[in-house]
Amino acid sequence: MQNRYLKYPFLIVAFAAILGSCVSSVEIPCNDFEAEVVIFSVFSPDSTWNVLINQSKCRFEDSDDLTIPNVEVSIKNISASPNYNVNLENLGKGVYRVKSKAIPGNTYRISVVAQLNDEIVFAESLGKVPSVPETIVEVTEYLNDAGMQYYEIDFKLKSKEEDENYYLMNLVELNDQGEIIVDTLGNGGSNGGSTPFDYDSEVTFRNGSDGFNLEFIDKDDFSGGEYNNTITTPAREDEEGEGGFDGKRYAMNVQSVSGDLFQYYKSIEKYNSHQGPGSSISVPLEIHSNIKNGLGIFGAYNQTLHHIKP
Amino acid sequence: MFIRLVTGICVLLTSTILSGQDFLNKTISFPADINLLEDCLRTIEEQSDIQFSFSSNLTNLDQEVFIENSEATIEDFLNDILPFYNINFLVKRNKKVLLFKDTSPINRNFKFFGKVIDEETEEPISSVLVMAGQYIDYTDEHGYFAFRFTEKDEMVSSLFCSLIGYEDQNYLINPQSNVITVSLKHSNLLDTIVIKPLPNPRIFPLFLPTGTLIDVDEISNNPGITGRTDIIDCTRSLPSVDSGGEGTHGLFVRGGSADQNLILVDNIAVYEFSHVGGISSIFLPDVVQNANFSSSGFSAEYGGKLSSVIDINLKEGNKQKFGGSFGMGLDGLSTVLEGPINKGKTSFLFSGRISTLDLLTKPLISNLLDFDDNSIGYYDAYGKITHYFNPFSKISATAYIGNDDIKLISTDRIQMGNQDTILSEQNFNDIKWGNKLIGLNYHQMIRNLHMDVYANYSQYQFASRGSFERKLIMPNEQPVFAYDIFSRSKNEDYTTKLKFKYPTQRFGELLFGAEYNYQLFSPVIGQSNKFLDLDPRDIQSLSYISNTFASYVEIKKHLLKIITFKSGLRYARNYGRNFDYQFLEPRISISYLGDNLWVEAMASIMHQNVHLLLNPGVGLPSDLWFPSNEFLRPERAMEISFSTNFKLSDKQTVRLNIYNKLYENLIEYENPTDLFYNIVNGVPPDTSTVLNLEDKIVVGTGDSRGFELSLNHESTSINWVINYKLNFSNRQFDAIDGGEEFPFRYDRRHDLNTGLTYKIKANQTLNVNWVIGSGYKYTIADVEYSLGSQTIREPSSRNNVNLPPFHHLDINYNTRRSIGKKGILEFNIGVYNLYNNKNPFYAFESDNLDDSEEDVRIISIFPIIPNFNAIYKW
Repeated sequence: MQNRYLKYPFLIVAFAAILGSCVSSVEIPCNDFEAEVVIFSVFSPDSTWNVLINQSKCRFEDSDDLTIPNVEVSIKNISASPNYNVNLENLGKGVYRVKSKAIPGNTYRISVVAQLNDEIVFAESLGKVPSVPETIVEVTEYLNDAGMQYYEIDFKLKSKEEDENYYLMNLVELNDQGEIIVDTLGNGGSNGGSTPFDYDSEVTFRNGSDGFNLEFIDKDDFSGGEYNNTITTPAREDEEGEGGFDGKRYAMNVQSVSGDLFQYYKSIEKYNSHQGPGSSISVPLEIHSNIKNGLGIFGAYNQTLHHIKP
Repeated sequence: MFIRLVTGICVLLTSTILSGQDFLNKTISFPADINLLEDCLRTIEEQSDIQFSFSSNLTNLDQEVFIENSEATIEDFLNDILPFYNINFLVKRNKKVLLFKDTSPINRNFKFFGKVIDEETEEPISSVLVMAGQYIDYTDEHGYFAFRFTEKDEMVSSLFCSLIGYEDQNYLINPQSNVITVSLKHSNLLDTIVIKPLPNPRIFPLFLPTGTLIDVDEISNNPGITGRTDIIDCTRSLPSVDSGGEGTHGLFVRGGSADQNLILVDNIAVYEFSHVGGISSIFLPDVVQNANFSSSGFSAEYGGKLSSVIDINLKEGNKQKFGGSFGMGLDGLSTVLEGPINKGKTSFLFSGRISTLDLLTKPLISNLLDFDDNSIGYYDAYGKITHYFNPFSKISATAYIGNDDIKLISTDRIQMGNQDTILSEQNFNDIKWGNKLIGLNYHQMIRNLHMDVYANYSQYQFASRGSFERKLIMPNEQPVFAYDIFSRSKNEDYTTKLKFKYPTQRFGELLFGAEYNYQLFSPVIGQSNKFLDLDPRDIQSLSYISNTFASYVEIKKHLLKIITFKSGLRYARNYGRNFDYQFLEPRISISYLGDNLWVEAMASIMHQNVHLLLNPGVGLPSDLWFPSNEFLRPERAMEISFSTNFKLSDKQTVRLNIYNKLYENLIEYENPTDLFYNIVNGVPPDTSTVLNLEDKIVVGTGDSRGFELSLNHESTSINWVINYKLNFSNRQFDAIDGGEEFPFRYDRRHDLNTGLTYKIKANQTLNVNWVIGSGYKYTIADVEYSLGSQTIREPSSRNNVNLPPFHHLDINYNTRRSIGKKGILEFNIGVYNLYNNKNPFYAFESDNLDDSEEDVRIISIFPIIPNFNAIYKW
């Protein structure tokens, strides 16, 4: 949920009006702006692997085409012996598709050579496909003090210390075909689904986020071994038709992600929560990037769905 | 036979003489408070077998006398003291000593000291230039000066005393006394230059003044927004200080931030000395005796801050008669009352002020912004009582209380489509800050050792709150949505100080002392999903405790007649639970003073164990003060500077400063968003104080370098000054911008401050002031790119954009007239920002969802402002 009320500039606007002050525009020059290569590729063994290559621009310039002409892209599996380049298909307008699937445990290097600002720019990044942890989900039914029926969902992650140990976890609602209605960022997806739980619900993760938000689990939370989390939720909808568990299909979506992708998702969530730059609370946010000599993200994840059945 | 007789007589006479002289070697103890010649003679008689007899022409035994040592032999007293009074002596038989008036040339090996006071109020005046022959001195904060002459020195018959605001005076030295009290009379002219940067370079000074003297008794050449003289406006006109920004509090000195200035008022540390929007300082100019400002070459006496020291001395009150003033103007209604409690010994001074901004702002805000309940205002009150036990010892008590409050509340009722459903929305915004100060000072002069003891308490609170509540009123009352975000800083300092000053001819002036400071910090950040019924200032929270002990020693000495060397060392220990930091802070400066040239090189190391985190956004200001701990070391600054001053002519002087400053252990928010993250991401705790600041702060370094050029012209009718400053200030944090260096937010690259004063008549002046400076830095999201379906806008770097330049032209007319027999009416009228330039206070990105109209906008808050002030004094 985005809270727009925090944008009140209370003191400053008051002074502005008091003495007949005014708001005027400032022109921000783009003369010295230097465009950078932008790489966006989030891939997993189970999904189509697309790569988007474009360039950044000065925000105050009117230009819509961010495609970089004359760019060379290559992706190499550097874990295989010998290393090999994966096959890339150029779909146009900076979109490339990898014809093969990403292999868990393997590391890939993307290299981009482009001409920007009258210079040749080399951008590259590394991304390792993580393995999934063993996950156990147990559901227990109980009655609370008021006699209402609740479910307690207890799940454990088992991982090894040598694994990267970055995970994203959230409850997702599934449709009848077993597809996720809500995407991994907790927003309504293209299927038009709603969040699985109302914000008033009593579903909270151990780290304080609620059911529809991502829970970020990083190395500080556990480094291998077992990670336990217990959530409770009312069994049935209340009088207003909110909350409730019965009659719906839920699953715990566990994503094992690379460290960079983990930081990227965290920064995206904060960015979206504060409506991006210019928030009255803080300076503009920066999105985490692992692209050397560029912007964007090149990261892999591995996802499992664990159906929750009372 | 005859030979034997003569020999015997000689032996007898010799033994008589010798035995008669032995008693002169007896040591006499003189009481500390003895101050009259005849009392000294009586003391000698009481402690020995001597009897003094006086010739008929001796009539000056009731003169004041200054005894340097508590013990002296009778012989030393007779040889050292009596000649000063033109008294000679003859030792007779039976331990009788005859005193008679001496007409022979004076033995010039003597010393004397004195005090300079205001003729009307009898208040001591500090920093007065006192010349005696080839020597000069400056009076200290208690008005004292001292000289010692040798036989090689020329005969001195008078003193010359000078200070801006007073008439110069030649004071004939009373040869009957080695204690001098000089009374200076206020000048009738409205002097226009109040900044006194240099001693007269024709004069060879014993002790060069540190820093710059600011005398706010006269009209400044930079009157500021209210048109009234103020410490802040005076200080901002100095070359090493930024000319100020729109509505900004605090001072920014040589690339430093506002929290890095040590502000002392009667030796009590003050955290914030500005009122709303930087309109004025917290002290009326009428209660300020003087202020000394230093941006480098700090005395070892000062510590705890990095950028500057402003040492303000307040007046003591008129010891002879009651008086006061009433004033009204843009800064509010004010009054000053002073007078004797015990005439000549005890005096009081009281001042009070209350702002009148509400009269202007309340209806405007209500009508234009729909904040139906609002208030913007401040008040301050100050009191001081001083009692002199004798001319050499006094005690004073100082107290101050002040508060600023800005409150904006709006309440709306919204009728939903269904007539039976009504929603209520309340928007509540409030910022408060204020100081409470209490100080006690005891001053004692023992021989020529000055001793000061201080016991002070200083409290500062800052609280801000932004809250919103929406609730259903009809058909039934129930909450819908609410949030409450607040922050509070509460600082308490308990300080004791002991300071000694011992002027010697051989070693120069010796300054040493120690102090202990016990500090409590209670920063709080709270957030709730309910509208709370509380005042953030009342929240109980854990306090961070910090102890600081410091001791120092400093010597100011002449190496040659034209070179002065000052060297000091300050030891500081800052400790608390789980941390203990110790530092040595050397301070050194060396000066050369020629006929028309003064050159000084200075170096110093300073530490600061309190930190201020500012929210760089504007919607929710959250000043958080907290001390160093086991995770955060004190900040540190090392500065080297070079200063040269020379006279182009009798009327014009030029000053050039060059400096380089390095900072360590500076702090910044890595990302201030984290502070209130929970609020925008779901359900926060009902009430909580979140303060794991160590997780949100990063530590880095900084540097600042530049030069300052000042041209000054003084003449009978026109004075002008031009100050130009070029400054480069950068910061570097590993966790920000990938470790790349970025400009400091308050890096004002160019700053030009000009002032002209024209004396129309003896009591009328016209001031014209123009300042221009580069805009401060700001972080704007200037980069745009796509990540899949999402468009991202982010800054290319921290503080990547300059706000537009800050400049304004001010004009001010001042006049002073006598009213009746005793009253004086001072009146000034002027205009701030004459050509109505819209100076930027804050920049933000417009809220339009339509990208085609997206832009960056600035808010200005001080357009063209007419001002007037009227003060009646009696």
